[in-house]
Amino acid sequence: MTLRICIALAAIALAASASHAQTRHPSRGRPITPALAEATFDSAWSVIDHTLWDTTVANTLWRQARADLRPRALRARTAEELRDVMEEMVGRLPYSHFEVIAGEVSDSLSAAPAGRGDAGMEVRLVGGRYLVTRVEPGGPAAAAGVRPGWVVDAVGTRTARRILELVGQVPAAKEARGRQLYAWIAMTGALKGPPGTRLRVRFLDGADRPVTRELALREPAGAMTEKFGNLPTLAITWDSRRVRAADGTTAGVIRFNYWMPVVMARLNAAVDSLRDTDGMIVDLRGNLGGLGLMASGFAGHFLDRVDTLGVMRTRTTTLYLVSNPRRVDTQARPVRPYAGPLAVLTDAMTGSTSEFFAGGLQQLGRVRVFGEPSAAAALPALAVKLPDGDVLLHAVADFTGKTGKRFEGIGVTPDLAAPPTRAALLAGHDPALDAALAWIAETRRSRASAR
Amino acid sequence: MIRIRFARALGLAAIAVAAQAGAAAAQQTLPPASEIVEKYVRAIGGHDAIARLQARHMTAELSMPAMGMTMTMESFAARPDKSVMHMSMNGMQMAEGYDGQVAWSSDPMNGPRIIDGAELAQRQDMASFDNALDFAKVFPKLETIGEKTVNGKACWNVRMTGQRGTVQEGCFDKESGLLVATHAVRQSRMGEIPVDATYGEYKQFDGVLIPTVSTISQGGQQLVVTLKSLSHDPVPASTFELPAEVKALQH
Repeated sequence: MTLRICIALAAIALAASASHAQTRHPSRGRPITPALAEATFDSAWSVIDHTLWDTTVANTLWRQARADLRPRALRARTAEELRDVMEEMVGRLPYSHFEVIAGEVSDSLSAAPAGRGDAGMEVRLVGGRYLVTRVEPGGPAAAAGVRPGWVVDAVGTRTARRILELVGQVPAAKEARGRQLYAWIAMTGALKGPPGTRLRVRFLDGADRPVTRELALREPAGAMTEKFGNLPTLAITWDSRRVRAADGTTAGVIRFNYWMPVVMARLNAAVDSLRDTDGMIVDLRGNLGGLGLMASGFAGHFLDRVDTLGVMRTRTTTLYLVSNPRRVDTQARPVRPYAGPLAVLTDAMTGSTSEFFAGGLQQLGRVRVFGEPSAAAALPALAVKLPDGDVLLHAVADFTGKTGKRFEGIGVTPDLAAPPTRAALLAGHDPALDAALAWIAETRRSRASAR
Repeated sequence: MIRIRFARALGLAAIAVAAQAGAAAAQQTLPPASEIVEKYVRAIGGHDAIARLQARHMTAELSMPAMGMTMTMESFAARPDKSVMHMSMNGMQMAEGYDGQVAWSSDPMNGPRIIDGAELAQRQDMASFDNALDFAKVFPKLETIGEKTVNGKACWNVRMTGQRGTVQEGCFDKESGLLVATHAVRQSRMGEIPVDATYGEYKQFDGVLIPTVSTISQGGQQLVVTLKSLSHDPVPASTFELPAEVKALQH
């Protein structure tokens, strides 16, 4: 079983490095023996050396990384110092999905629901400012009167400006999409806390007036958690609903933030309940990935023949993400795979498995993609425990869609660009969703006239 | 490019010829495969003990230590060739089986599927209740191809070819006769996957020795299968009936 692990793990790394940046002191940290440092470094290096699909990179850059950095690793006296060296080592690889995740961060995130309290809103970095792009009906932000299009200016004592300065220190955030991703990760983390606590947030309203609101954090609606192998516990959000356009067009909207097993039964049930709609919209904005096989599995609901979403090439094998057409519903009744128009919404936080799904079906001509270019971080990866307790996330294969196009470093390009704008949000619009709905309505009309 | 490819092909052909010649020379000193698998049958309990077994119910824990994952598995089998296996991973239930005619799989991720093509041929070749017990019954063609050392044990490596062309290598401990390792290329929906397995900690169940720990390596990942329980009591025929969602595919 091959996993695509979400780049959300970068969030953990970022949170960890951010906290280290503020608190690290030469005399502090988890002590580590030279033997353990050596075993941990060698283990991490060897795992990647054995699995890196590009042997040219393995034989040159990767060997050099070991030669350069091993002496420093052996001098490390704390787990944090060693992690810095190993992060530098994996950072030399020109790919996503290589991270060293602090064991204590992973463990603490796995142990308690401390960070599950949610403000009931989503934010994105738009034009250098954090915009509220979505307010969950009935959620804490809605209760406090927060509106889409408002700007988040400060969370507690942390200003948005300071958060963005920290983000700027992350090497991967130098590039525009990386900056958007890490900025989102940082702010999303800042807007979370223990359920029941109150979070003071300063906004700029639609007229750019400072407005402070107290948000009572709570478990997000429909929230679930999942602990999958060495990954930290993930807080899963889920929403499926039916929307109706002014002309009577109906569409099913399915939105979730991770491809994890706990979501699969809901996905199947959602497709069943929305079969009668004129079109379906899978909203993968903010969905960083998860279990890769779920992408081809879910795609089977929309394909009427066995087909390939993509190809994974490891050093020794070539494996295909094959979709099985779903000809039976959740009640064991024969059905045909959904044949209506299918739209997928993407943004810079649409990563990994979400890119397999959106890009794979796009290459098959089965979906129309709306929104913004995706994260461009799409490689099959595994997460293994290291001798010192840290977790190494490492990609194990190259990945292309059926037509041979790679998503890593490129991403999925929308068929129709529909980025969020402040004006649209303040007017109550969601440009990507609106565009998808308009396309479904147009498809419905053209199919009707063809009959 | 064509010239390079042609030259490479010639080179590969030369290597293949050399390998065959080497193998032919080596085979002169290798024991016949029929003797090796017969010794294995005797080592695990003998033909009569195997023939007494009519059904099997196993539970096992599957762990991927490097990934920090654990799954559970329950399987049933009955003569001549019926089997069904249920697995649970993170609350997700997966199943697959063969009722003597139809090979199927079903899980929430991919939905129900009736297996066909090369995948079906391989499953049919491996469907016999005697698979892993009496290889001569399952694989019409057996040949000793060499010797290896697996986990410190010297073993004879036997290539076994099924009726439909499925090839599996089994390595049998020279001393005890027990199977210590297998190598096969598994036909899957995702393509061909090389699978290497080692077997250990044999224990007796109803007069037959069965390995209780298997370590399977595939796709760069290691899976440890630890047997939790094994019974040879009769299994109801209904156990092997196709699930409703698979039956629905037949209409």
